[in-house]
Amino acid sequence: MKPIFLRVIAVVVGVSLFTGCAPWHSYSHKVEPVDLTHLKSFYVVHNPDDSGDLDTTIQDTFVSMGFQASTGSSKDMPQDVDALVSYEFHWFWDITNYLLMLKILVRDPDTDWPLAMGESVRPSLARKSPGEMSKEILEPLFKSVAKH
Amino acid sequence: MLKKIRVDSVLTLCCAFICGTLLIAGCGPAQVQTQRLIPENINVAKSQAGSVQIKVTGGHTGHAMQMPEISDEMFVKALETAVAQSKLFQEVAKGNTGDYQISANIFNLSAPFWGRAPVSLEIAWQLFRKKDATLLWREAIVTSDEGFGDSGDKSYSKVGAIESAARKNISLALERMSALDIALPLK
Repeated sequence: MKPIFLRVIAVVVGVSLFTGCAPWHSYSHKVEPVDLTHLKSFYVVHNPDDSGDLDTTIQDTFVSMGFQASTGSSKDMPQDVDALVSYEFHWFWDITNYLLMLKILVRDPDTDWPLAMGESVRPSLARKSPGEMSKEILEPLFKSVAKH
Repeated sequence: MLKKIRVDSVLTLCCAFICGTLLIAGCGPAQVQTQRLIPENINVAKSQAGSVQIKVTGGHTGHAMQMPEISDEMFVKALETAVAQSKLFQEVAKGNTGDYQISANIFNLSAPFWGRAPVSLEIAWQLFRKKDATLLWREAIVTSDEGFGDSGDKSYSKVGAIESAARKNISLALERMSALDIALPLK
């Protein structure tokens, strides 16, 4: 196949995939009638597939909002945390690596009952840093109850 | 030489146009169908007396990557139909009425962006007695589906997997609610 052929197809594919649909979305919701105001400490469980330290990023977001937060493996969870946090993610590549999707799930650490979740999906042209995506998920849920 | 270049350019442009059209036209995804969220057979242990209101939260539409999703509206319709068909309660209440409330929060729908990975769906179910807002039962139910259907033809369908996971979830929830002893106290 001629090189110019491939270049044109690549451009068309790229444009169609990354600009033809909705630019990005982000949403967060809690499971009613849960009260998030009593949650002060969070433990972010490291996802074994995560080599990009997203757990640390999420932890830092909680801390920046005035909460206590730590991260580690599920078996090292402290006894006295108020909420367990897990996350799902999808990296993609478009000239450089970027975080296409971040999903954060918050649960009761004793019962595993779902408390709240949020998701941010940002295709290439709308990309943001993991920290910014973490913030846009967690702030709608917790900013009103943050210490500062 | 000039003729060869013109043919190449025309071919390139035609192929690019066809590819682009196919891709852009195909940008809209296959959609989840409300009717396909309704389980066919629900094993109800017993019917509960009274009427039930259905409330659904956590659903979404408008995914940035055009992924198929379940909206609150379609899940309400599917759940109302499933409850009515199964006769889990005597009546499905409309509006804000009803003796009980089934609250379903579509907590986490995990589906692959690309490829043929299984789909999983977690719904946080709660059953309330409305008169005194008592929580009678709650359970977070996780169901999944490989996406290859029951036909055995090995063709993967993400939408089919989502619909199947939803059917299983509704079915399990209604079966568990039917086993509860929640009779309304005598007035």
